[in-house]
Amino acid sequence: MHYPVRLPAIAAAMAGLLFLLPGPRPGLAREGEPGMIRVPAGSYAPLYRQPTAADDAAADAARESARRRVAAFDMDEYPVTNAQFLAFVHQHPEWRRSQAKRLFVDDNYLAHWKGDLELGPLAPPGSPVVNVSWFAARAYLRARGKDLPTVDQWEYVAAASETDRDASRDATFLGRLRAWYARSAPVPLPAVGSGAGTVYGVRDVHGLVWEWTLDFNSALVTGESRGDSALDRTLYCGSGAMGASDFENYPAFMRYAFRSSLEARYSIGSLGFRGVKNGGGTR
Amino acid sequence: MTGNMFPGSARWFVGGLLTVAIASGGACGRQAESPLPADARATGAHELPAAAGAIDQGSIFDLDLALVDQEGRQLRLADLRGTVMLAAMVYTSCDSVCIMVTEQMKAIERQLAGVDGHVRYTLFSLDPGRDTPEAMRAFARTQQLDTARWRLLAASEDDVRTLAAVLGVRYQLEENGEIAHSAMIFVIDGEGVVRHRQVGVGPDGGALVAAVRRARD
Repeated sequence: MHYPVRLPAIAAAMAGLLFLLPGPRPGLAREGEPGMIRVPAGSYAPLYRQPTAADDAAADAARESARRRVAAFDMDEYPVTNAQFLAFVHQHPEWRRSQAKRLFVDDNYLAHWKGDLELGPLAPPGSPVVNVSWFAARAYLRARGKDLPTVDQWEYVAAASETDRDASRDATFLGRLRAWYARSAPVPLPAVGSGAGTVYGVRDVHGLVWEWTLDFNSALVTGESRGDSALDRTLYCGSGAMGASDFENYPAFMRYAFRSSLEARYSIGSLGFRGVKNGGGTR
Repeated sequence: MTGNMFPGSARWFVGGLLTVAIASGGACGRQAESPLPADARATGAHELPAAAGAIDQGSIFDLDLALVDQEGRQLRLADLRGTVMLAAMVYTSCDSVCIMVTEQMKAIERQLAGVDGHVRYTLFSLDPGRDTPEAMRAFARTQQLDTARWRLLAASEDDVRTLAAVLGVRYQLEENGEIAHSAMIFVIDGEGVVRHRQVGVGPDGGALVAAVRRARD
């Protein structure tokens, strides 16, 4: 069956996602909204702030001071599914494939669905919904009193493995992510719950789809303004700026690069979303 | 399907970026290896596709945004309908690139003076916390902006985020209070369609002037 593809081979070669782990594992004790996991406050080391340093000790100190604090928040346990998004467009006709305004979605919006209100074989009900723009994702979440996670919230959770809250320097964990990123996604996508878990109980952060973040457009890599240039250097010259050991966190680098390539109306076959609420902000 | 990972116009940039990163294995890329398309490097300008593409992108007036201008007047984004505008997103406490953006817009205003009336010059604030009407009035005064043609508009944090998303402006609050952001100037026609987008501040505003003239047709 033909699946809509609009990308050249160069990206296809890079673009893996996905991988399957053996079945769901129980999360830790969890509270929060139904279907959501309470993620405790903490901090993480953003990729783009990792500084250069003369030696390992200085690097560790600098890395520690660059950590960003994240307040506790509730996060959806799973990415939003096709079935959930279908229920939304039933209630909100303006977000049906044929009705959505072109300012908010591109031509690929819900392209894997069979029709406005029909999922079809490429969009199993329990699989994560993809081909949704940032605007469509936010409209869905706001109708439920939620919003997209910030980059900080998402990366904070994404740093966790099944066993550690901060696995961002765990070579085994990172190696697994790299392997996952190099693999092609199955069509149709597997059901939610088939990706990796985290120590928090939030599932599929890795292993199923990429996910929208609220401030995806905060990654400044185009180098136009005064402020951009420093950020540009840390991304464009990413590996050099980060040093050999930090180059291990190539998965985070790929995620930043991916976000920097997005525009808000893009609808992409490997990009889904999930919601958060009750967050206290970041910084 | 994973070919869709790096979408749209930026795909070459990111593809190139990753390729450089992998190939060099730690070496810093040079400008000469810039993966931006050659035309974008040369001009810093993006002429958006004519008619079909422009229609496909939709009208910014489909956004229902609440704005406050430098006089404290409240309006909706769609109230700007009907007049071609040259627009940018800046913040008034910025002392570098925002000034350069404003200066280039003023230069274009001079080029169009007496020839093209009815062009509005619009600065959308990226800084809802500090850009009060008073701050925007002060900026207009300092920059000697003729408020018969210029307007400064502030919005809520969420509305700023939405407008930036629509226009493709990337920005980030820095811990020192600065806002790192893309320097871009837009030509938006009377129906809200973005007809031209200049990335960066160029010495030659000819393409912007031409785009304004086309947008008035």
